[in-house]
Amino acid sequence: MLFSTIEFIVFFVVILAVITIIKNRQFQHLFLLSASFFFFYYSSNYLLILLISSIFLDFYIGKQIWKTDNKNRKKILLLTSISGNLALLGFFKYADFAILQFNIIGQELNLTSEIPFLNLALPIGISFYTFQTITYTVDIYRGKLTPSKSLKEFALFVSFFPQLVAGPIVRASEFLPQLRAKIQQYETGTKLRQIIIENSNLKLGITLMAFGFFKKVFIADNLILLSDAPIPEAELESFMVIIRTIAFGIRIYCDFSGYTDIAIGAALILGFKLPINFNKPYFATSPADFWRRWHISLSSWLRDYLYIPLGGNKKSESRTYLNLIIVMFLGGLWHGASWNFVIWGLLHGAYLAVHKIILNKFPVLNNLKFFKSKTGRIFSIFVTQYFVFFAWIPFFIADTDLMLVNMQKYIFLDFLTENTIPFIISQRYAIVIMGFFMLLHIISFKVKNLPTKISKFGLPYWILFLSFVLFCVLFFYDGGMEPFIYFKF
Amino acid sequence: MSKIEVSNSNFKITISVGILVALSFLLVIFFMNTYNSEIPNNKDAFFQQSFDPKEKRIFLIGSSQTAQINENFIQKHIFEIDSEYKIYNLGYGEDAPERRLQHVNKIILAKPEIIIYGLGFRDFAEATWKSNIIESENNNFFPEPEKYFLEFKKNVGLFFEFDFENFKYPRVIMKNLLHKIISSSEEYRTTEYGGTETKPFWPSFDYLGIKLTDDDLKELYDRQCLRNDRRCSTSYEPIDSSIENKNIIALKQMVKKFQENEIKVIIFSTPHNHYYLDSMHEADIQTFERLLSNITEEFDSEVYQLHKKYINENIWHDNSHIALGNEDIFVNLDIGEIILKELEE
Repeated sequence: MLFSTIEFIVFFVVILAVITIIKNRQFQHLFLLSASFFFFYYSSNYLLILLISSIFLDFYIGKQIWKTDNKNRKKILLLTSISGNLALLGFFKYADFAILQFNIIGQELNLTSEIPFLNLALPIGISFYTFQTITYTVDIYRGKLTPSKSLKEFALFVSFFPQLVAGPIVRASEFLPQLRAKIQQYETGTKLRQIIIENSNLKLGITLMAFGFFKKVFIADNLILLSDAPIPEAELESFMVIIRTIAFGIRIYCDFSGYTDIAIGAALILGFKLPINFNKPYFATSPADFWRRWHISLSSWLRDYLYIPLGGNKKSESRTYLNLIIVMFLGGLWHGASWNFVIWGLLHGAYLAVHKIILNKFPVLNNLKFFKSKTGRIFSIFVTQYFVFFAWIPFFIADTDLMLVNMQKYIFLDFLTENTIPFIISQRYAIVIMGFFMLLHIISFKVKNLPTKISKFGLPYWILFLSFVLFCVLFFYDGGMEPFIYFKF
Repeated sequence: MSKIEVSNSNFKITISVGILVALSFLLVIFFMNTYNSEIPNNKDAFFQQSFDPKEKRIFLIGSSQTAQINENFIQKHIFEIDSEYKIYNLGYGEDAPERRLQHVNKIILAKPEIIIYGLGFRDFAEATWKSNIIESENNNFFPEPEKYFLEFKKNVGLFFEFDFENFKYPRVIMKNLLHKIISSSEEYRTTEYGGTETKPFWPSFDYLGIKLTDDDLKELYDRQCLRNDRRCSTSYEPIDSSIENKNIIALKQMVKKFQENEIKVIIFSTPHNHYYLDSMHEADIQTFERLLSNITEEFDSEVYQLHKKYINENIWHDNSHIALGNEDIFVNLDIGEIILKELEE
């Protein structure tokens, strides 16, 4: 079920109505769980079984890890949980990719037979909920979390519909306490929290959802043609490549952060706080800063559950660089079973490593006044974004030859006016929308907590704001119902 | 804030947002109904332009196979620079008579002297790759709530006499409205990337002029057939020659309308190479040829059968498209000859 469809609006209104009518806490939570399962079943049908299996597996293993005092047994249980989740993810997401690689190697070795592809349907959201369940068992193993005594509560944590399909990747320690009356401390002894739709949450939630719909429908969907229109290799020139790359960068940001805004807004209306996932990433001043602002729930997951266990920066310098590259390589592969995502991940790994090498070799740069001045910050932003956008090329172009031509034209400028002008004319509306996005991005950078501030407007002004958003969303709506990019990850 | 105050405030917000959403939807519906028929797509913008009244127009119509014909070269080859005749190539990808029929009135209003219609096997055959997609969507064992919802939505639409299909176009209409406001109504500029004034719906890129070698064509064709690609003849069902074939009905309606409006219609069969034709069933080729002959008999309209004429020539961009070229692509010369012959008659 896509957020940007009438189906979702109907679904969400029904949920709000029922939650408001039902006063019994148990029923409220049970209803929310059933609704979340229905949400998943609506788009994934029988694949719901996978979600349920994952819930059972981690709930019981989590309990066993907590119960046992034997360290080895704890380790084995944790490995069972992690390998079970990763096996599920690996089988459904990477089986055909692995078969393809075997077949290619087979061809090189002149083997006549090929392994047939499994052609499995990728279960929606599998990359997100498996990571969530991993945090649960790992945190129990590390002694940071007490296991949930209630299967129902754990199931709601894994399947909570706003974040089920594409995150943010919520940690059990962030979500489970919110199901209880005493939010500060997660104790299963405390009463279940009654779900009340609060005035401030309702207004802020709707504002956030409006931001999300605006980003997705008005900006991201209107840039599809510009970033995806097939342009033959022979016609490409640098201006076209740069504009298309920027368009894709804006599109993926608005698409994904739009989804996140809707998810956070919907959850907030129901009284749940989901972690933020984006913080103006295109104002990042270094690769490390970019990853503190882009897909924050994934980057912090990778840091806490992969980078640190690998040794982080506690070992040798060279090991730190290698760790960064390994983490980003796996982060790239997490996005999809394709080499282009691996290249994207490796590029970011290389950026992080090179940036760290430079800072280690020339520590003076850290304290240089220039980088603290406004000009220096703008300079840093431009340099960082030049590389960030360069890395988007392999992300959106899977064909290796075409990808290399695009990369070459991005670096070695080669303008051809006779191709540029008709291109600009044919894409002028999309280019105007890109300009509009940049303006809004600057405004939201300058004005901190813009959605919160808007939600505090008086009712008439707030309604005026919503009218503007609704106008842009409905009058620039494309009935093609373009799915969110991260739905396929 | 007390519980009653919270609940009152929530009520106010909910009612305000509800009314706003309802009003916005009504406004969009009103907008769609007002402008939908006027500005559906960029093809209309071409037909709505103010043509030169002295100009005598010759329209080449058909699918991408026709779009690859070089109307500029033919123009220069058969007419003087100051000739009152002007050739437009209105071919576009995946065109078929049933689709083209939607534009027939606009074509007539543009008052061409002659229409040269390129028809191929694909214009009458049902694609198997389309039915494969539909089949793969219906393989769930468990009930699918989405289907029930869509059915419910359809019934609601029927009750209120509203077609949800219309919701697919607000963006297109908005863009066209903006285009109308910004551009002069007299001026027409193609919005198709790579399109030109005389070939508005198909790009004229240099790479479309690349001719493949015979080996490359074979390799390409094998790959396309393996993928059940639309450019492979085996990706289609046998041609249904019965009177129920919607494309045959549409073609006849169009020819009839053109003739009623005193527009001369010349039909030619679009060329294919030997890989394409070799993989076709002989019965299918015969059915196609019979269809063309029937058109000649029924409408007394000239039909030029070119589908087998260039099978071994070195003119192919792929197995069903000629390369974009000049006199080296003999099809251009032949189409030029056809136009001249018809004008002399």
